[in-house]
Amino acid sequence: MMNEQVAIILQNIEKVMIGKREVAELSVVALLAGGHVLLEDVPGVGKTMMVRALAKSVGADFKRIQFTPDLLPSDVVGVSIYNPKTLQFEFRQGPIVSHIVLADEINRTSPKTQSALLEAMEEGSVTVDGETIVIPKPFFVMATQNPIEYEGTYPLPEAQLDRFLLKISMGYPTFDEEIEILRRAEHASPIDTLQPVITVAQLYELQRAVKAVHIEENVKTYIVELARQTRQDQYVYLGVSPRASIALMRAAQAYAFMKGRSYVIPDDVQYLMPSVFSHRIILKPEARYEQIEQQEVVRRVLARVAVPTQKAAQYE
Amino acid sequence: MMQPLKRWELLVYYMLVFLILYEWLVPILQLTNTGRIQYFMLFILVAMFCTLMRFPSWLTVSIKVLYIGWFITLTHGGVHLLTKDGLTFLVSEVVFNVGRLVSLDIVNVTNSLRTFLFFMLIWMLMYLIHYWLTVRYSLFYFIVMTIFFIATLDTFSPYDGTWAIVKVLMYGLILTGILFAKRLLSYIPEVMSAPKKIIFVLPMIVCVIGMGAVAYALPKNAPIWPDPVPFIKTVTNGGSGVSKVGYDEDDRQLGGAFEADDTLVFTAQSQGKRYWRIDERDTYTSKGWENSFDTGTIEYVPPKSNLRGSAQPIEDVDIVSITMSTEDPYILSPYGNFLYEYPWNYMVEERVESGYRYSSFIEPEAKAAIPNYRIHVVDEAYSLQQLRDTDMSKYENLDASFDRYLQLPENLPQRVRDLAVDITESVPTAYQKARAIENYFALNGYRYSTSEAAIPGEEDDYVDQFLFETKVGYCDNFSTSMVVLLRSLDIPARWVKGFVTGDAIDESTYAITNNEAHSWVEVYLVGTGWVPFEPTIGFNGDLDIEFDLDTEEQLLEEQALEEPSTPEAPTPQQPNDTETATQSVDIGKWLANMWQKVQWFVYIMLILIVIIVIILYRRRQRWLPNYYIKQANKEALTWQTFDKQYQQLIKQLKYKGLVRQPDETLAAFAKRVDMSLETTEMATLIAAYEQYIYSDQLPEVDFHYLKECWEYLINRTSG
Repeated sequence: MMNEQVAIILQNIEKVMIGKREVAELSVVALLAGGHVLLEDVPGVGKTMMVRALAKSVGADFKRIQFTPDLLPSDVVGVSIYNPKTLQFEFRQGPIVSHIVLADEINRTSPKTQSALLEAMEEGSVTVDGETIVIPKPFFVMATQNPIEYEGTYPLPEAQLDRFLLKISMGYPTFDEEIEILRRAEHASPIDTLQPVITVAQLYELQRAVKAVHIEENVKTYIVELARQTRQDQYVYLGVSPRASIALMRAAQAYAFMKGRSYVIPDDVQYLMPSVFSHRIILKPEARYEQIEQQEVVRRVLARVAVPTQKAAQYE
Repeated sequence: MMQPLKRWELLVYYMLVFLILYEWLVPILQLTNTGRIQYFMLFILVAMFCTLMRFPSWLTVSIKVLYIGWFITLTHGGVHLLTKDGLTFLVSEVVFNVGRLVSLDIVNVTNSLRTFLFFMLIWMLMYLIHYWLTVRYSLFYFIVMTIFFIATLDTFSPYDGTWAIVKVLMYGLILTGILFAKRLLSYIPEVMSAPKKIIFVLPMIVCVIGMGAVAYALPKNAPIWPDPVPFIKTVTNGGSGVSKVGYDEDDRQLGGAFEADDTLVFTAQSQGKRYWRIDERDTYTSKGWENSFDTGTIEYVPPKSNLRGSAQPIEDVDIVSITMSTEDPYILSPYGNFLYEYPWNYMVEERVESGYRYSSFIEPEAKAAIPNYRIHVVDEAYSLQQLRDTDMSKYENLDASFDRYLQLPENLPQRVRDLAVDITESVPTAYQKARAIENYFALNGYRYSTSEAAIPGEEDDYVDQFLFETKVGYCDNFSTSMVVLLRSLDIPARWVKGFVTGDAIDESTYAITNNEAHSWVEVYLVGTGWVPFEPTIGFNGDLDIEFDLDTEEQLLEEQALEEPSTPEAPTPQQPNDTETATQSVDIGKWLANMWQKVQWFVYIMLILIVIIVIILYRRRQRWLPNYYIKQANKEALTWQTFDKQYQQLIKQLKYKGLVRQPDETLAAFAKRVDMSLETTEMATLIAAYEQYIYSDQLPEVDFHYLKECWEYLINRTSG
């Protein structure tokens, strides 16, 4: 059923993350699809733990950037320093040049620093003083943020949220899960004992395999139709971009791959669409008054578009 | 899985089937004038025995064929099969009939072939029943058809199926119950022993018998609807349906059913019970009555009128008072000597030829009824001497004015004339002949009914149809028949219309409603004049002739009247000699004739077929899966057929109320279906189908397993 290697990663994550199977799966989907994840929730529900568990499982070099209000762009991308011995400026690369980056509490820092991060995510490279440094693949950023209603934050510009493939909410654990969390944390943090289960090369192979997952014409049509419907919804000020359609397709491919299939089915699309689309939709002001949120719009769009159940014409 | 039938179980079923088949055969043989029912039943027994003994099919077939051959040679050839004569007979019959069939001369095949075909029919029926019993475990439709069949025959033919329906219903319910129990038991894994099975079905049998007995014993309401048969006959014969009873001047088309009508026409105060005569008719058209002239001479009648010739007054004057409740202009006449007394501003006019009297209001010259008038009546008695003296020789030199009372249509069937001779040949006088005909109907099983009277078709004669075919009708049938029979013997007779006595309100007052409208007969007896006769069954009370001789002689006379032997009516299905004598049979005519006869049957069958089609269509989700599965078994296992079968399944699920919402994915739908049907197969099927429609390559799948899943699911949808 499940792709074996992916299953091993998920099992490894589950050693430390209790009951967050869905979040783990989505994170892995983003990792496989070569996209980035924005984890959003209140502090303390395990966002950081999730990223650390994932990073440790892959065994890639992992950097963590704790965003603070006084963090500078150069703290992220790197800085050129004058070397008196060589009489030259030498570039010291920042923590962003890494396989897996945890950008913790991204909305606590200033927009200037945020955009440095987002630009690096988008380009896959950093440019300092005219020097461009390509970040090695695979490059996977997991950003976390507190909900924007909290004090002392700089909300990410909505247009820039487009850089994230998925936006995931953690949610609180259930009663039993929380007890289990306590039990595991009683003596030592389990994260310290976590061993990598997959190499960077293997991960790279997986990412390539994901791109080979087939998307039938009818499913592509379905994705496009969903995207178009977001642009026509009465509460939507700005619908999703074609980049969002691509993102949904990539994510669906990764998810299908994770489920051990060589083709995407509409179920994959339906499952991923809230995570892919909801942070890319900009609502009209009146939606706020009517308590309509992006998730709700996505639900409405899903209900409007018919699932393709006919074989695409070319195979008839 | 169904356990195979035990032999003793099959024996029980067969016993019940045998009893039901017996009820099938009895009416068929009775209606087709076939005897020897025991041999046909024996054939059924032989067939059942062969099956029970599980003989190989070659043995069964030979036994049955031998039996049929033996029966045919014995009954049609009168010789045994295994003699030289028998074989010769059989061979000649086969050669002859094959020749007829090859030349499409189906009319002239011999009875041997008909018998043979009938055996074949029984054979097929037996096979069908065996199939229903052993494969379907259900005989319900057969039983329904049997009841329908017997009810139809009971309704439309002389066969009386009252008991047969009760019996078939009981056998049928028991058989259905046992078969249902059999099906029910097949769902439990443990095997029941024979006594246990019997105990299991015993309460059901007791219930059926008990309920049947109670239902039979309970009093039953009369049917809510009147008998539909005359109506159907009327409609199919192109008539106008049921008319209302009442006095009607138009008698050109008689026949058809009547509804009762209680509208009061007039009241009469009279010392005696009287018939009220209005009008007469002289010309019989084979469909009804007309007058031989268009308008009679109108005369004002003298205040006294005597309808009878030389009868003598026997009592004092009875002053009858008539009060009309309707605007009808006719004037009623009693029998006897009478005299009208009415207001001065009215007139009574009479059409001389027909004796039709009507009133008119004198001043505005418009026809109008006299609201009330009185009639002075002196009753009369007849001279028996004179009546006895009406020898047929006296009719030879009648005045030409009687010709119109001897008129008969040219196409009057000969058998009517023959019947008249048959009825009357043993008595010499015209009076006795008239009495013999008058009594004929009551003594020969004719029935009175206002609802079952037929309307004669294009080719039918009204009298002929009543006398020989329907034998049921009301006054018009009886009186017209009597007039026609008498005329065929050259005795002048006319058809009279009016009202009968009516209900007595008190000692001397009678209320006459439309229900009392009636027709009867007047016969011209030489020396006496026109004498009324009442042939209609149930009406002979108030028109008895009083005689002027003493009681002893009267008694003798009456005994003599009863003597005339009543010849048996010729059987209705008398073979038509002329037709068989004809060398070349006109197939076209024959077909047209057959169409005439089976027309209504064909219409009913068409309606039935339409109903069956509608029912089949509405119940298609029940039988379609079987059809689909049979179809699927014939087809190769490919993705194309899989797709087709999948679509069939989706359709079937729709009947079950399981419809995929447009925004629902296949997997979600499969989950819902599996939940609802308590299955897991839908998910398997959908997973394969998803692969078919969303994948770029058609993977190898286990089609056999998929088909099993599909079969299981589609069967679930029919449950």
